Amino acid sequence: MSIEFRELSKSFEANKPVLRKLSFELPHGKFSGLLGPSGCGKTTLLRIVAGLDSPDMGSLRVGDETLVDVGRGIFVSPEKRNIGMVFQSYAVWPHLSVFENVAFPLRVRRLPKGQIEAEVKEALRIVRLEGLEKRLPHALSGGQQQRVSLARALVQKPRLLLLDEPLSNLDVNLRSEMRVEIRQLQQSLGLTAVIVTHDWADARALCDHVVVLNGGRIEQAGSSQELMNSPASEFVRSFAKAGL
Amino acid sequence: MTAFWADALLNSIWIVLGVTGVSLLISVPMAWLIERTDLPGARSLGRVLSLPYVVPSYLLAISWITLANPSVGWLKGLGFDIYGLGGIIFVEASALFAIVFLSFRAGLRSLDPALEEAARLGGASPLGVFFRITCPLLKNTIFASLIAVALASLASFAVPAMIGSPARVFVLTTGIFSLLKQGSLAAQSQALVIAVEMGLVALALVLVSRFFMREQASLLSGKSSRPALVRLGKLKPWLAIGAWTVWGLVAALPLVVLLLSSFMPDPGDSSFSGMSLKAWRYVLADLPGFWDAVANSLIVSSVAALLVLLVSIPVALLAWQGRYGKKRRLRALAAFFEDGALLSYSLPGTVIAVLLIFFAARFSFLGLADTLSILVVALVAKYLTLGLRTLGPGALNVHPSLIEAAQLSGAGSVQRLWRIWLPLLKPSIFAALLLVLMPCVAELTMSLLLYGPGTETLGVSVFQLQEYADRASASVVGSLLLFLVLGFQVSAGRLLGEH
Repeated sequence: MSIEFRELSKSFEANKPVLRKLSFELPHGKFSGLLGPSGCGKTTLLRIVAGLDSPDMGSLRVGDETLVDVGRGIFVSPEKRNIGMVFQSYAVWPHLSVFENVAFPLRVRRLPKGQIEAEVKEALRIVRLEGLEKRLPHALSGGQQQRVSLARALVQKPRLLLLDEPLSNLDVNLRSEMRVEIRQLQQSLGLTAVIVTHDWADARALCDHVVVLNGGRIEQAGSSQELMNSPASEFVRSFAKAGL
Repeated sequence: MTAFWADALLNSIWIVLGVTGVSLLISVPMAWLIERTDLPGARSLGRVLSLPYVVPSYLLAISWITLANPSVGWLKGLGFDIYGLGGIIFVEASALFAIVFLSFRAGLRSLDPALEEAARLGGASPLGVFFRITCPLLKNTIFASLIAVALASLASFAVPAMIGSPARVFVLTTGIFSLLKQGSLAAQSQALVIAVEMGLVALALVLVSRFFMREQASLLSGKSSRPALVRLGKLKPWLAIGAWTVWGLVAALPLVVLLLSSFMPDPGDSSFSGMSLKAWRYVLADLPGFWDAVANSLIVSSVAALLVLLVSIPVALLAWQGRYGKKRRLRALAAFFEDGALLSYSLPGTVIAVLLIFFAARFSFLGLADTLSILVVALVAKYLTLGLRTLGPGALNVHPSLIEAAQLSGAGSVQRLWRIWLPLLKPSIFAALLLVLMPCVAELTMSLLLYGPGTETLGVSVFQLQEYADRASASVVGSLLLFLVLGFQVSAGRLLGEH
């Protein structure tokens, strides 16, 4: 599913736009990265895709479905978008076991018991958490909570996987390990994925396509190689350089 | 147990269950609408919704009697009758629901929004998220606040006395009151027994609620993000009307009625042409004992508030040194004071007053009975916790580096305390003063049992005026108290806000 933004604008306070008439597209079946310093609008953009924020103007299409079109009064609520998201704080529910955390999207969809069991098991196998089904989140490490969050996002077979700074709370070793795993998952499942990050290393290791944002506008888009070799602006050059 | 007490116990139980139930039903949806949806005016509604909680509940009772007294009430044509169990539950719930509302709202604010957002993306509807994620996460907060409501409704005296007694509906507190008024020794010792039993129930409830509060895990996230607001869509105008109507009913209407009633001296006439300043002139110029009551209330509450500070400031210092000086024992000592004050706060006012009456009789050489001093003792016992609760966190805000800097500048311990620590704590000290003054100046339950000739307070005077069916004068004194209390509340809020 490609993601298509048209003239998207958003401001939380008057005269302080976070996004300024953004129009661009993220490719189907690829791993895209939204990159930029804090306050550049990348998280807001991701939350608009998820339906957790709504733009003031513009439209958003995923595949051939219009999810948001302010002009035509269209807004598909987040629970109807079938989008999986991994949050920066993981957002693993502390009152539910690992199994129940992952099973939640399937329970909401009222799938039969046997199917839920099988699919949760499969999702936990994919993120390599077999055997921890009965644990409560507080008995898990940060990396394990991250995997629960990932399994929960994948179990509903989402059309998009969104990742909001998923690696920033992990220590350095775990971070590069998770990068490899997430990348392999995305490729083997053929997912369209979008990651928000301020870390150039994430973009290089994960992304087929990188969009650098600054002050609510696009500085440059392309592969990370292109951006490094021929930066379109001083901003991109220094940003790429600082991340090396 | 006599039939009378069996009845009173049953009524008390009904009231506790009714008030907690109604509070839950009002507070939880309102807090959710205000914090989680695009309800118009949510912020202002959140600010004014708990207004009835700071108003003494007997003022709400007076207003509702003015409105819905079946024989002379302004709404008598509509067939309302406030007297009875239903009326008591309604009036008490309209004040006490704020306890649940405020703590549930605080819980919603402290919750990491991503916990709920993740459930939305998992496919759950807004209500599904609320029932499957939000409520289970905050269930201990909800239980603890419901127990606080149960305690307060068990202890309430003024509302059942004004609204229940005329309909011959007695509860434990009003039963104890009427026993004591009989004056016989047998009746008094029976009152003591029941008061002690009530006190034990109250203490048990506090212990249970502390268990829930400790169990409530911290759900704060490091990242503060705006939660995604639920779009109410087509329901928006209806829910907005509904929410503001609830506010109008529980807060705006009774307070406006109280004020209006003070300008309508004629009991039978509720038309605007009958408005005059007659009742105000009567109360301020001619009402016997009014100015004595004003003086008594101000003296008693100022002395009580100062005593509370005199205890709270050293305890706050102990807690501060215990925390930053890593002295376990000091911290334990401070916690001991805090727990003790919380327990005595949880005792119903009626119980405190009965215990004090017997104490004063047993140790009569102290000459406490029927004096202002015994009122002061009662107020300090009841409201010490308000001072501790305000100053404790305020003191912990004073970062140790500020004091260390003074030490390196050559200041001795007294100077550090006097020139740095106390001045930094000043806003908290004033706020604590106001927060203690507020309930003290309008106190009724304990004053009514403890007052003697010449030591009537404002609360007592409102109660007596209401008993003599002098509605307009009761409303005048009530309005004065209302302004006083709101003034204290607003000033305390400002002080704590700037801190």
